[in-house]
Amino acid sequence: MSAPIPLLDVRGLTKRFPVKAKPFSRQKKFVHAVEDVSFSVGRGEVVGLVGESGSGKTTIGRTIMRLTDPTAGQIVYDGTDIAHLPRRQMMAFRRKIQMVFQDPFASLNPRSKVGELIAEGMEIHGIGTPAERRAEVSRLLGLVGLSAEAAQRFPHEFSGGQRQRIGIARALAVSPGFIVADEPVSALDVSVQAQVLNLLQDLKEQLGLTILFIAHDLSVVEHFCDRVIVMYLGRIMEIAPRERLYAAPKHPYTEALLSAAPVPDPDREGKRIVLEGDIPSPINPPSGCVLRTRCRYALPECAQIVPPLREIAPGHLKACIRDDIL
Amino acid sequence: MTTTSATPLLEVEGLKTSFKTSRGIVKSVDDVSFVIPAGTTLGVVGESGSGKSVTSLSIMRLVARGGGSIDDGVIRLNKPGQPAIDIRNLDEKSMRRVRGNDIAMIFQEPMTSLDPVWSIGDQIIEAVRLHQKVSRAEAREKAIEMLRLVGIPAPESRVDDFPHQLSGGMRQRVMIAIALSCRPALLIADEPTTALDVTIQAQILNLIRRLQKEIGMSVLFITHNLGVVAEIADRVAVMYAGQVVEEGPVRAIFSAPRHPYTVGLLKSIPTPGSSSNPMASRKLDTIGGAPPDPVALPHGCRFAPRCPLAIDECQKAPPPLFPVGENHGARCIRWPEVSK
Amino acid sequence: MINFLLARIGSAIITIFGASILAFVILRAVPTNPARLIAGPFANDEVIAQVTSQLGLDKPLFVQYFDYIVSFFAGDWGFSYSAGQPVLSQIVQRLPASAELALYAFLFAFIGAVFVTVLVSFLASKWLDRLLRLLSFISVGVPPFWLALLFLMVFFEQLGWFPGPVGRGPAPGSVHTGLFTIDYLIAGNFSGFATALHHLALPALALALGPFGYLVRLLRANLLDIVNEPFVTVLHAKGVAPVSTHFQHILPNAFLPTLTAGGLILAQLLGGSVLVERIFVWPGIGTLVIDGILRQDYAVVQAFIMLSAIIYIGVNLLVDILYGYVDPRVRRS
Repeated sequence: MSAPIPLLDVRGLTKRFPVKAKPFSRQKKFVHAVEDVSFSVGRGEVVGLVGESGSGKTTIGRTIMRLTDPTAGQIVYDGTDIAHLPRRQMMAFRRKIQMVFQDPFASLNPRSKVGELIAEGMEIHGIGTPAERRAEVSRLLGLVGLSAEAAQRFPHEFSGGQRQRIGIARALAVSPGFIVADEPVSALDVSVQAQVLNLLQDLKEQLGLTILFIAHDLSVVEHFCDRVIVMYLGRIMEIAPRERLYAAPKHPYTEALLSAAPVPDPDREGKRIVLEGDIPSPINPPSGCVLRTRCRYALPECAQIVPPLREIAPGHLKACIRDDIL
Repeated sequence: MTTTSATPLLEVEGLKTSFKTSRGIVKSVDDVSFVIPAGTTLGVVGESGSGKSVTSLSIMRLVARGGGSIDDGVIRLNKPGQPAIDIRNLDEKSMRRVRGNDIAMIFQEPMTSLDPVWSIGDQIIEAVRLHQKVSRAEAREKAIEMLRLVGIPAPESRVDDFPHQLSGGMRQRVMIAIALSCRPALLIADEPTTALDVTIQAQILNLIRRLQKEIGMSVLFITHNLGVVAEIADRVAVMYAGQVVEEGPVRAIFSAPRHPYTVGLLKSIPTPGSSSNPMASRKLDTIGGAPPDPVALPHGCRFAPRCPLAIDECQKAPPPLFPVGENHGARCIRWPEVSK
Repeated sequence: MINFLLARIGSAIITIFGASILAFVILRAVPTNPARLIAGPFANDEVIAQVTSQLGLDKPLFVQYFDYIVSFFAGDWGFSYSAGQPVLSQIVQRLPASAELALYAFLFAFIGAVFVTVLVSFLASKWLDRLLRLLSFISVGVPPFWLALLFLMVFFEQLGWFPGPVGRGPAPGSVHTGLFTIDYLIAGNFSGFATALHHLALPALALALGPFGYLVRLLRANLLDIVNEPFVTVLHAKGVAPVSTHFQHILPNAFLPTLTAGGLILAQLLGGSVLVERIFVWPGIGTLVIDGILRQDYAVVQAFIMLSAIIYIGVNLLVDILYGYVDPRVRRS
């Protein structure tokens, strides 16, 4: 499906967070945030990463950004494994991989002007002279649909949608090759969400961006992404091109997720498949297939082995031992 | 309103609620009217700041805590076989008997909506004993029964659990148990599934629907999610800048909207199934601009500055709610020209 | 809960161990030779050497430390050469006076702060709230010794309402706890109780004001946070009356986090207050320690460091256990 040599190739990525253990108990506990996850993203491709809370989608994004260090596995970016790169060498890659956050200003200094915020990355990486940076800030603001005078104002003067535009301009400022967008539109109202999605679509076409798009809204992902990775409790359940995934999901979890999503059509037919029960704790995930406790197709064997992610059609992978369903 | 039922359970007429802020007076709800027939669900949709939450808090008379006041209008609750209750002019003590008893409410944040140092059982018992003359032991039985009703496993032991021991979905079930413990005539649900995961949202929506049938209550369901509203509502009110701009049966709203804002909203959400439609554009239709500043609202139609159909006349006077179909109204002078 | 307690006790032992090293090292690092101090300025080298070996000061440091710890737990806390008696018996004599003063100061501060803050927040009056903030601001800033002098000037010299700087007043006939007010109550002597309280009032209030202001600030901030919690809106929507909402829900939630601060304040007060005890001629630990320091009576100072550590740890342990009982989030985890 994707380009012959993927831009990003994630192999066996695992991230466990130690849990504060009970005193005098020898057993060490971990939050199994991401378990043995492998996928790749081709140049110019937009890949969606969907899942509910605790699925590990945000941890994957943060690990690729090296905001948190992986426990195991490889993150090969453009031929280099950055998973265990020392901090100094990581600097060069920080520039190539940028992140767009759900709330871009939650972690930024509210006393800095928008222009300073956008130019910050260029300064850190020593790109251009101050005058060149100012010109670049104006160009970027124009690119995301804001006027150049916005550079002189403060973040709090902008609405949620405008702030997300600024966040995108900030990410683009260092001309990254890869963008991790973590729920970039989920905090926005629907009409504003549409504007920002269109902007991302334009930028993707103009600049040929490669994007890992993390979201929980299935129809947003269907609309925006070329390929979709479905996660549950730290593991990949299914990977497929969007046309295949939405029309003919092959994994019980994808089926249930699609069926649970409310559709803006009062006349929608069809019975809803409701996954019973709660998402299990990632500290103590079920043995074998993590979905089995809520899966209506589960067999006794499902508790025995962790189902491998296997290709069932070109570009279509699923982690489920049953082929007689769906 | 359906012609078969005599009087609707809730009537809201010309409701106006405002808040004093440092920037001036914000008319959060400005001339809002709707009715909810007994046993039906009204979905209220709108974006942030549209006034949908303030409308619900006004019905509960809980706006004063946030510095708001109800300035005008009528809120009338008609319980079958009982005299109508004029909520706006009720004294505070009688109002407390309405809250939680006749009208109950559930909220968006299941994680913070329960008192962390009270057991969930005690929080249900508190609600039961406020409105019913029962002993503590009877109230506890009732609490267990409610927990079973909302689908909490092993309710006899979970009744003594504290909120932090439950997941978000379970806490929202407890909130529903509290709200329904006195069998209210009206349940106000303010974005009850927004903070929940999709599969848990589906469970909660099913639960609300099932209990509504069992208890026979009406529901005022506030959400920003058009998918949720399509699923749960009988009638829909679309709010924009403090006003209901369109109200009608759910099918009419989704298939033949008559207000440009409703049309804009429907078009700006990505449609499920777009991937299997080769003709589907990768671009979404958008509503240009942003909602008006609440302290400086346009004189005429509030949507006019963003409306593709706006003409000079739209800016002259605020449009009334025109009848545009059977039990269907739209606040737009060009409604005959509006289509999806 | 058992696990939790074991962990707390484990960390308490480590803390005491650390404090003992500190107490040991600090006093060994002091330039003055204790043997010379004890032997007196005219002693010759022979005498000093004799005293040094009596004190065990010629042994290796770790042996000295080991001896020190062993005797500490055997109840031998050293000998105060300036008072001519064992340190432990001095502390046993002095501790009740400081403890009683500390407990009353603590009660005044804690009860006063809770009462005033909750009342003001319930009345929701902006004017009263401003007054309370001003009061807490001032009371945190005023030094207790200055306040003690002011109290004496106004309530003793000018108005004559309270006794002057004469210590604890007459001692009760029979000693049970060493706390005069309690011992009088046990004996059924209410006028004695009143006299003891009368003597306690001024120094306790002088010590209480600072902690009072601090607790008011803390509690006020907590209350403001809790009042805006969504669960409070839910309570109103349930039809719960404002009084119940405030006293049964908001207050417990706001009160719980102040227990930690309360424990710290109590531990600090129990360690005795040097200046206030001096001003009121209070026969407590504070007076003992300052004399010990001035006379370079290192056994007294050493014992005081250990005692402070034990009090601090004891009170914190108590607070933790208390949390286990009153806070469900701690109890169940």
